[in-house]
Amino acid sequence: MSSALPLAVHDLCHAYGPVGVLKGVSFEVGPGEVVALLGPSGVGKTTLLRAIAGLLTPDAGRVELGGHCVVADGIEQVPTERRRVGLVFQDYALFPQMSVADNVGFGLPRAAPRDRIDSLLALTELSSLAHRRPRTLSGGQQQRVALARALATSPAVLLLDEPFANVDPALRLTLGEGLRRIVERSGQAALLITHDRDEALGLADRVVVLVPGSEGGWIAQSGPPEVVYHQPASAVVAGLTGPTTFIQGTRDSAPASGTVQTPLGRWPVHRDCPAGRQVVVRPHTLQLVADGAWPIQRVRAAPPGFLVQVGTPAGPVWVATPHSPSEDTVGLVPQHPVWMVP
Amino acid sequence: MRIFVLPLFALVSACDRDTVTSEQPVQPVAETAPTVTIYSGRGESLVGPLLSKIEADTGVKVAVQYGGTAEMATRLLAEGDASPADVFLAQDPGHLGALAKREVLAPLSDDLLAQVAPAYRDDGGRWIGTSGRLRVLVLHSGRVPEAERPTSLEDLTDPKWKGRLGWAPGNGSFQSHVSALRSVWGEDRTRTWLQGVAANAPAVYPKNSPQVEAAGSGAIDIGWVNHYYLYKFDHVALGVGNHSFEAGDAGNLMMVSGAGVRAGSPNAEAAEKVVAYLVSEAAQNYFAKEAKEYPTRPGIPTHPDVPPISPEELVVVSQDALADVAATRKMLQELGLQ
Amino acid sequence: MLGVGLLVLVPALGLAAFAIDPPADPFGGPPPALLDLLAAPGIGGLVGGTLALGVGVAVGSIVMGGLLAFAAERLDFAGRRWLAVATVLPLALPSYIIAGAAARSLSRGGFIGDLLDLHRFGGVPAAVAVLTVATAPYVQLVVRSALARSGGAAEEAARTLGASPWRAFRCGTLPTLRPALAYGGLVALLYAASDFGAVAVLDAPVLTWRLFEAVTHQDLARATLFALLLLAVVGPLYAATRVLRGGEQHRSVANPRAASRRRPGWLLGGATALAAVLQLGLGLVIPVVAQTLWVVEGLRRELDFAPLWEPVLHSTAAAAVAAVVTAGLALGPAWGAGHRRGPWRALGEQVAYLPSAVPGVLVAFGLLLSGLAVTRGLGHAEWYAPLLGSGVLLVAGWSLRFLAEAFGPLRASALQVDPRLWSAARVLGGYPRRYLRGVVAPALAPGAGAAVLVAFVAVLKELPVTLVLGSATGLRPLPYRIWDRYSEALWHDAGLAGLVLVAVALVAVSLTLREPVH
Repeated sequence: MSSALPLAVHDLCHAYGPVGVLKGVSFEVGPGEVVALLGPSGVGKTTLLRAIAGLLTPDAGRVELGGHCVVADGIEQVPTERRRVGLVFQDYALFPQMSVADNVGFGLPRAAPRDRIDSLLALTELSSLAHRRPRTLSGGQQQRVALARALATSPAVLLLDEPFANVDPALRLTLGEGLRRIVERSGQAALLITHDRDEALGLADRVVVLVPGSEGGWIAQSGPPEVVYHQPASAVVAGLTGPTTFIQGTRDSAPASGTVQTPLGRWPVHRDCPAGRQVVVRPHTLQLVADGAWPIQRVRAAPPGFLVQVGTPAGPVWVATPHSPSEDTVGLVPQHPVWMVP
Repeated sequence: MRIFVLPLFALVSACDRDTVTSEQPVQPVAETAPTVTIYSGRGESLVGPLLSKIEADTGVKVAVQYGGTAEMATRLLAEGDASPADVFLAQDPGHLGALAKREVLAPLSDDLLAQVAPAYRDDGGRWIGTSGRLRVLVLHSGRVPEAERPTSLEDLTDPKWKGRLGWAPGNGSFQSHVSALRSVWGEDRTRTWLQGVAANAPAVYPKNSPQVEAAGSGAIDIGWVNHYYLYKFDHVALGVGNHSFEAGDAGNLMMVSGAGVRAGSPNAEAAEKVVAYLVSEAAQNYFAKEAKEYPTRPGIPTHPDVPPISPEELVVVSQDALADVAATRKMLQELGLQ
Repeated sequence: MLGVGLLVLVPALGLAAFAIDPPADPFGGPPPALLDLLAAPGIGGLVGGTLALGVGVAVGSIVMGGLLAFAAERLDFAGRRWLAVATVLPLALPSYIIAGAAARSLSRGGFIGDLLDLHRFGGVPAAVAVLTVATAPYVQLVVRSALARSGGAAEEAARTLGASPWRAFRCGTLPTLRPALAYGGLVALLYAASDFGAVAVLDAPVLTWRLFEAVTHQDLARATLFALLLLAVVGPLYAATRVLRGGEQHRSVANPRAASRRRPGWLLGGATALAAVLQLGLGLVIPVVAQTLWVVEGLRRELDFAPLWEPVLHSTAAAAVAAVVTAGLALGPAWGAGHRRGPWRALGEQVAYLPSAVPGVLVAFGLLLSGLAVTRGLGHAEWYAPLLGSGVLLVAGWSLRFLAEAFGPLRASALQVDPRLWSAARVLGGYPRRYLRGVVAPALAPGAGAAVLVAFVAVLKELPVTLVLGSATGLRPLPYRIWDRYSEALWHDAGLAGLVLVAVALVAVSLTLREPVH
């Protein structure tokens, strides 16, 4: 049981009438792994989620949960009620007439020991709220209840649908860390669906990038956050995974030389980078220097870490504010070898 | 808003030929032909054509207001001396008698009263009968063969009629008949009889016509109605016919419709002319031929379809007894029939 | 608005006057004391019958309306969209037409009665069936709205947690439906207890019908008793609906995802089919088919059809006048409720909804008594008949009865008028005339139009007020014609008039169904 993959998706396809939504989507979630499925709105993330949960039957492809095939080739093998998935909805979908404890214990059999619920409540720091109604809780508390409820049945995989879509930006960081801690402590495999790159890259062990296509969304890249961030497979993926500027560049003829000629100077290129025409410029990797070939407009003062655009011969470039803005800074230099995409 | 409403209704009401506006008709000072106001408890479709002939035949102008007999009688009583009514034409004799007792109706002239048999007029001479309506059973000749037909009203309590009867306890004629039964049989026997028939779960109808139709269609086999409702339908096609009881039985009741003049009416003379017209040959023939009722004037034949009935076959009861409707209603209410 | 408030109180005052000093039956003895009448046998049964009718209809409409609502929103089957519209249409038909068609068709002599050898269709059980079919569409709409608002997320969550479809529904969706079901059932109860048309045609021993009979027999003391009993039954029910209505509406999820539909199993599918057959059969098919058959039969037997132009003319003219008056009267409360702040808001609503909740026959009787009381009190009893004949009481009765119907659209329009525009107009000096003409009138125009239309159709179909307050005016509108012909068993005439009325009503309801349900 524990050796089987919590979740494996093979070649999933689905369409609503003539409009394709998912095309050939394949990926896996390993034991204890937190995987983020990152993609823009409307690309089919929710459809994928519902297909895994059994709330819809995909037209083609296989889904395996804990090693058991639950749907294949457009035929449902195991209905939702018997799949072991935990689903945390975007709006939490708590049962309003039940207390927190009853909500959490809903999926457990009647005769289940009381301490199972108690331990879950302790895990999610809800012990003091056990007898409250969902209506009286804050958004963050409700999310934790939904999480505890989904974890109660020890599902093969935990599915989280845009967990922070309804949350204030100020709280997002705290809640995100809290969520991560709970999932880690429970040792649960989890799939996190989001369009927010900060969530995806900040919370996940691995990121799967779903991009739009003519016949439906498809997986463009899958890998750890650093790889997806620093070594995106395409311009689309680069745009999804972080703030970026694209600059035209020509690789120097000798590949081993590892440099690229750009309007802003000759920059080193990562040695694993395949051939490409555009340089992916991440603002946080750029440094403003005093020497260079062109004058630069005065950079607007802003607290460190915020992004501003500066005008360059290569067009406007996003820069994380320089540590010391000065009149005569005239160059931009990447601190690491850059990456190129087609 | 009221100013707006009144003319509109007057306009709309005027489209209806037989109804006239309800204001007091204006009497010109040098009056030549006064307008007599009739309160009619008899239906418009029934007596309308007759009443519209009055002016042509007698020269007296009439204005008619239609309503239920009870409603019109109450109105007469409530309006008292200020009432615009001159003549009261009633469907059922009950209210006529009650009004006569209270002297709301004026005594009619002896000449007029002599034109009909004593049984068909008020003992005190305050109202005169214009036509008679006979209470009968309407039954389906196929489903109720000759041998089974009730010979007496009492037979209707037989359990064999369960679910096969119909009646209309809310109807004025029904209540008049029950009043007559109370007079003829006494309170207790009448009450027992009502309970006995009610035990047979008769279908309740608002009026008499539906009973004829229902007897034809099979919803009931026997209905308790007035005789002339049969002729409203194609009774041959329906297979239904009227049935009277054995001679003298309490079921053979003739109910007299009548008219009287309001005491204190300023147009008493013209009013009496109108009443006289109603018992004239012309009007009596109308009641017999058009309405298919029994004329009160001797010598007038009934309609060919209507079998004549001799007075010996009828139950003997004073028309005044039919007036005690209030007590009858109380009994019906106590029995849950009303 | 105060004027309207006073008008609303008039029938109540009339009733109170006669309760304190009951009128004598002029042809009977001294007036009976109300308490004596109360103790008479059969009164308990009458109240019991009314309550039994109400409860039966409430239960029936909750089951039928709830099931059909669930089918419309959560199930997937062929013809679903069509069924969702069709099962709501019986709302348009007056209850007396449904009852009349059913009574005749399902008894011996009717086309179904003969086929299935049924005996007789009448009394309280028949009235329960007819009124259930008449009110279930309303419950269906209320529940559908609740289902749409709740979304399916809680139910889906339950399913992912391993709950069976029934448990998922029970824990996930049913709790949010309960208020809607309760409210709908209560409204159905109120409607059934107040109904006149169906119970009269089916001769069910209930308060409204007996009240009417007492009035026609001039037994005003008994009528007063029945009126007071009816008020005692209907009053608390109405209060309960006002309380529940407040709680019903506040719960909603922002942008709920539409719940997924599924194909029904044989049990659910069979139950839905049965409910749909009953709803459509009794509520739409039988009325239309039966009336058509009556007309055809009349033509076949070459019976005389009474001319239809007279009732049509009377109906149209009277309904037009009444609709305008009603809309005019509703204007004050609607403006107060929609535009002003504070207590005016609540007061406007109460004034509008209260008389419409009272049974029609009760409003008519109250006005009748008020007329009697006023004319007698002034010492001119003979004014009473002309008062009745002028139609003033009739229009007043209709207006009170349908105040709420006109109130809705008018208030919606009034809500759209920005209160700041009033301040702006005052500052600019264009108040009040320019403000009224330029701002208020155009804003209220669509609401006024809708109010007049709704009131027009409502008056067109109305029966009890028409009968009680209208017969003395000489007015013979379509409902009167139908009623009269039912009692005389002249089905062909009744069918013709009924088909005209049903056609108008269906057209009107299809126009209003295009707009979202309130």
